[in-house]
Amino acid sequence: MSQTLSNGLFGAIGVVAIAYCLAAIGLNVHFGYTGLLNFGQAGFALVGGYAVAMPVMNWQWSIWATIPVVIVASSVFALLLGIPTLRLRSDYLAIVTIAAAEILRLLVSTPNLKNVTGSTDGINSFTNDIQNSIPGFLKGRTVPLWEKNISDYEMWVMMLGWFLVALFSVVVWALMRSPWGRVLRSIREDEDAARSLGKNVFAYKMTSLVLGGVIGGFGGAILVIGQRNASPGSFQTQFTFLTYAIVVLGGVGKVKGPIVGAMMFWFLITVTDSLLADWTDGSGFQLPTWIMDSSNFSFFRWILVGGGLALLVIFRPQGIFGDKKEQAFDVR
Amino acid sequence: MLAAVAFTALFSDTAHADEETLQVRVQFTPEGAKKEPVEGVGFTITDPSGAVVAEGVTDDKGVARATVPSDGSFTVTIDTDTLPDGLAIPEGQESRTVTVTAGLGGNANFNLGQAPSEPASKISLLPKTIFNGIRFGLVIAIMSVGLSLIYATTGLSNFAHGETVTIGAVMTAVASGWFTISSATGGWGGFAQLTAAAIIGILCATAFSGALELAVWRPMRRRGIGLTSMMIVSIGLAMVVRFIIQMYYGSQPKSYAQFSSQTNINIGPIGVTPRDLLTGIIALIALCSVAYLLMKTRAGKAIRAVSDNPDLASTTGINTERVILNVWLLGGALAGLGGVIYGLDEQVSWNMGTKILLMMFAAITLGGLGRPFGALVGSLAVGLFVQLWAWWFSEYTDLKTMGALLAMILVLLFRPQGILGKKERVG
Amino acid sequence: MSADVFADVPCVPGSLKPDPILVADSVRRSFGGLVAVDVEHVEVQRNTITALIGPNGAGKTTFFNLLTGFDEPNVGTWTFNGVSMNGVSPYKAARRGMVRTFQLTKSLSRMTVIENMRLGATDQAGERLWTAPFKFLWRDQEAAITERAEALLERFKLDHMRDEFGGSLSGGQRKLLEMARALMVEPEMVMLDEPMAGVNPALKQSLLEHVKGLKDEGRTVLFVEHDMDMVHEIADWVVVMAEGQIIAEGPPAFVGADQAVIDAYLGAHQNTDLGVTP
Repeated sequence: MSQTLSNGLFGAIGVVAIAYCLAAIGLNVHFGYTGLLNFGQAGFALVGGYAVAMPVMNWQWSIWATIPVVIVASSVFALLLGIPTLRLRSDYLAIVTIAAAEILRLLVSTPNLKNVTGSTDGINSFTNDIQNSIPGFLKGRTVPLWEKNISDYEMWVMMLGWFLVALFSVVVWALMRSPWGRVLRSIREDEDAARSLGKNVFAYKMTSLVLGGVIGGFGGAILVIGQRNASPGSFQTQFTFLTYAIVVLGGVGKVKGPIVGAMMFWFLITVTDSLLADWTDGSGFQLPTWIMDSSNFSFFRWILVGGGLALLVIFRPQGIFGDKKEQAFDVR
Repeated sequence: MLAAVAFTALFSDTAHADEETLQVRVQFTPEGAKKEPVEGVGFTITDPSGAVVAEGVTDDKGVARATVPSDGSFTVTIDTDTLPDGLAIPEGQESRTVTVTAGLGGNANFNLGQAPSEPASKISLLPKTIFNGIRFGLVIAIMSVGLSLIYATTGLSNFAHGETVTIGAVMTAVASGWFTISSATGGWGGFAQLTAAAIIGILCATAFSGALELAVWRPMRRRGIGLTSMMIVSIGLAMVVRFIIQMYYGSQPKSYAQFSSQTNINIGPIGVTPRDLLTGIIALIALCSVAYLLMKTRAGKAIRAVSDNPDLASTTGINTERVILNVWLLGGALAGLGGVIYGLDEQVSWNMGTKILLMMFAAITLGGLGRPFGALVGSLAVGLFVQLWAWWFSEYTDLKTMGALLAMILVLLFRPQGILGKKERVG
Repeated sequence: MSADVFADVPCVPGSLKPDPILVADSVRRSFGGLVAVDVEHVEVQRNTITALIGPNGAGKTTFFNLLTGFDEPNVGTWTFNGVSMNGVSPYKAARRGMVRTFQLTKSLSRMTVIENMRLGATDQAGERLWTAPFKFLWRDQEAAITERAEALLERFKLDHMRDEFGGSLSGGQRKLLEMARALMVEPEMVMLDEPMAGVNPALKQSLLEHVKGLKDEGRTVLFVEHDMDMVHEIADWVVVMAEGQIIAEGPPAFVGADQAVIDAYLGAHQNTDLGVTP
């Protein structure tokens, strides 16, 4: 049991949770504050991830020099998506973003570009700079987390990741309490009203798309650095939907929402996986095999995610800890 | 050098009595089958000086015995002009040097390969490409008419529509397994079995679609839950259903139990399997029926009225809720049928609906969101685009769906309302 | 006073005004085959209250949408303060001093009343991305805006709702909030789309007073309305639309008696109370 819980705890604060947390912070800017239906957060994360891995592998850049590449590439992706869609009805943005994310995933998967993107295997060995930058107090040690040991590399990436989470959360907090954030929220409520009051809605939406996209890009960057591999499998459409689940779980349009959501989400997922693995491994308490066995229990987490997302949206749109008085997140 | 030749000539004369036999065998191994002899292949045998010492042609066993004047080393060269059509000898292996041992003779074995098929000229493939494109477009169209009608009547972008497609195909695959227990699978018997299985699959898809409307969407509309929420709920439901299917159907794609490969029949320049032709016709009939239903029948007119303006329709005495249920049932049945056909084209897999869902969205967006006939036009455009991409960029066929998505975005850039959409200013 | 302004203005469609703030020429908008708006010429006199009336489907709201940039005409030109407004997007129209409200109120439901009001203020430093994160850069301006907003809320008797969510207001209160919010933009011209629709009779009188107050402040008001009592009570000038065209213009009393107007209304729906006995 304590093994399960320490797994869950690691799941909640580990690299994957951080990556999804960053993606969720970005998505929260889009969806939570501005009401933009971005269904392509996986695409932004992919852009961020490959913006780190590709220059290091192909042109031997220092990994630190790719930070501006992450920002520029995610911004360009946001502009490309925003220009055709932000003047249209919101469902168009949803369809175009999901399509664009898929386009990028297919593009980096194609064997024709294998020497640039690594195709489906992706890019490895681009993280030497991170390895070499592990500070002395950490180097060569493993950090115990209850019953789990965290390697120095993993710990270092987690520290960098949580720093980014803190940084972007502060930025989002500072922006959203300002009149700028007020305009975003007014667009979420009714963009024609904002227009009639002299607000350049298109520009605000675009800025929001870029800002949230860049944050999502850093999420992808942390993910590939943590996994030491950038491959298309990490950035499937699923990525976006999990990010939505996290945002809704933590509370839409709240600064702490993505953090709370990501930690809870990955804690629950890891614990469930761990328990189900335990209940199907052939010893001790076992689930009947017609329900699930060791070959298929791992799919159950997605059923849980999907069902949880649907139930949350119907019955607790304000999130797990949200105030009942706050209304559903769309009041159209 | 001259001296050496003279020397050899001298000895070859003396060795005249020691004639040896050199056996030449020419074979061909078709993929996955036993070696076959190749008859009628001509060859020449030369001695190290290049002089031809023997010639021959293989018999019906693919074998020819030639007599060489002595032991020693000889070169056997296949006359490539005598190879049968469709077979070739790998480059650089046309001739082989063999050692003929005194008293034992020698052997030279040649293995032929499939001749690299003459690259058919692109233009000759165009009719087939267009046919495939239209056919694929029709399949997408039957799937996406439901998606489009649901959007038009309820405003919902239903992300669970892909799973309706999957259910149609998967339940057909499961049912096709039941029917094979007792009887043979080929011929008309197999066709009847598959038809019965398909009906079960389509009924399951219809029931799934209708059940979702009654159990989820209608209550949500009554509670006044917004469209964005409903869209996200549909994503959640899609995940639940998809992974339930993966858990119990398995991750491996399967074919229907009655599936067998067919040979092409030629219609003009187009070679097509009877199966593809039949399913194409079924898709076309289904679409025409839907068009008739929408244009001519009472129920269809009610659907169109609700699509145009739900509030107005309800004030004119149309039972909107009833119409919406009909749309879900109709959409489910069509998606199920589409799934059955798509499962024949590809294989039946747990995530086939999810994979095709984006194509459906691209189709209805291209055609103009919420326009049922737009879905048809958009689907044909997507189907053609995918196949034409694969035809033109034959090196990049894995990116053909990407091409369709890219085309959709470009069309939106220049014609935001889609091909058939009403021009409306939305921002 | 206002009667004097219109003293020399003939009561014909498209008549010229002494000091027009808004001038529209051959503005046409059709949806498919249906011509929704087809206005030859119309002028709106500065610092007056002009009513735009007409039966349902006459194209009044579409005309509003065109003038404020929310819709684009097929052809046509119009100027505001002498400056062409063709192709000017809605937010720019608002910044130039032409602010509208909507038939279906757009109070921002999940924002408080005071946030709704603050949103209306223009030229806010805090609305720029680079200054927004630094509160000290916009704190003083925000305080000034809040003060102005609170004064307006008091005037519109909404001060007790200051911290309630927009979504919790009644229909009439929303209309008031929308009007007050529009004033935060400090517009020269206020365009009200059916300000009385769905407002309970108790609130109507105060709404009327507020509209009159706008004129007293020196603003121009153009409003779309069905309620003929309101038109008679506050309008200085009435423009009548039917089937997309302007069919009559004149002071309220004149328009009520005009045969074309009566026909237009009677043709559309016979029970409309024109507020006068012909």
